[in-house]
Amino acid sequence: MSKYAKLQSDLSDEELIQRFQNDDYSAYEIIVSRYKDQLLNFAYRFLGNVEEAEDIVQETLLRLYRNKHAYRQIAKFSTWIYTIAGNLAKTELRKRKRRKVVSISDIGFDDKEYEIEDQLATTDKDANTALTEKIIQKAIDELPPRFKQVIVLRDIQELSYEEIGSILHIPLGTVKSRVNRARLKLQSKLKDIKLPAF
Amino acid sequence: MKECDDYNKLFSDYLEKTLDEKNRQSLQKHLASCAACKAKIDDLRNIKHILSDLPRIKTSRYFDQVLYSRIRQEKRAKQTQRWIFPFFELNWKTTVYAVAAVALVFLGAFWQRLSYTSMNNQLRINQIAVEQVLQGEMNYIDPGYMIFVRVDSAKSTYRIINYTTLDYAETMKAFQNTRATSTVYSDESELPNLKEAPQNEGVLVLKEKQSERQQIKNAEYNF
Repeated sequence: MSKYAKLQSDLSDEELIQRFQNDDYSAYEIIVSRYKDQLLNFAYRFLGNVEEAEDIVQETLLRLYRNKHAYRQIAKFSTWIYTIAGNLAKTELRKRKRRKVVSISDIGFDDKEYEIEDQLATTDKDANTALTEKIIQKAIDELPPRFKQVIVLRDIQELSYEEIGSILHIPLGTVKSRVNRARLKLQSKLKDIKLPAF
Repeated sequence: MKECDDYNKLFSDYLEKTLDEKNRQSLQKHLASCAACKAKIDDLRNIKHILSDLPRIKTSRYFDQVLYSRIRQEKRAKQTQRWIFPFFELNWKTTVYAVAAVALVFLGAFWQRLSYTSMNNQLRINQIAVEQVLQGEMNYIDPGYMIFVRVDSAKSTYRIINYTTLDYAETMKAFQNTRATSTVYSDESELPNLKEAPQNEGVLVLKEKQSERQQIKNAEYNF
């Protein structure tokens, strides 16, 4: 990595967006590389569909490109970009109800290969783990959107309660309450399934 | 005295270790004597761990390519607008005549090679699979590129690509698998000689904008 690139990569999100607002496009590229995967993970866990999730992330980053000056340093940059992605994801969820979705997998479309980082580095990803993941994702998909949002942002994306409150424009108390209820709802959906213990 | 429902509301803060001391002690005392709540909080703890350990998905390998291609296209579109607009303001009549003249020259140049048939109501426009496109080098249909598709026609049915290039995944979702085979060319220069196309095959040329679309059929073939 060049010295300049290293310097840039040490910059905070807020410093990068400021540089981008001053027409430093390499700063935009670093923001893209920092956020594309985590936004995809968020959108995927929210929508349950990888291709739709990638659309959302594309659109989010395009909007960032087009509307860079819309960001003001009053809020964290991550809050701003998650808000855009979250709104797009919610819109997609509403649209989904109104149209039939053709799954790419149905047409044997496999040129897009999605890498899934195996966080259980010391454990083989056996069939049980994969099945558990599917079951859990299905349970998440069945949650009402207001619960799905908070639990994905809190327990999967590991954002703070304060940040979640800023993203969703809801009070801190409401965030905590929804997280609690979302976990309880998931627990009741999964109660009949033997999940691996930690 | 609190009931289990009241204690339920404290579970999240308890698990997050953000519960105040008084409530924490009260809850711990309750958990020591309530098997149901104990089981529930163990499940919640378990779910929290499972969620945080779910595999992280990464973007596809063409993600950056697609994104930056779309950005380039937007830049080009803006530059074109800036070029046209000032000229338009200066002399709109000249602009209109110039554009019309260019269009006529373009059409005239292709007229001898291509026969043009307007779409008729009998054509059923279906969507075709583009696996061949995507398995090859060209995996994204950039706006403004011409896509030439050779299809097998069946009973006077054309199959064409219809795409909105600003939304790659949306476009791809629109394709359904068909029995039609297709050959895709990414550049106009690769367009084969139409007369050499086997019978019952058509060559279709499409551009992104509806106004620019042409359905070009070799007049010698019956469809």
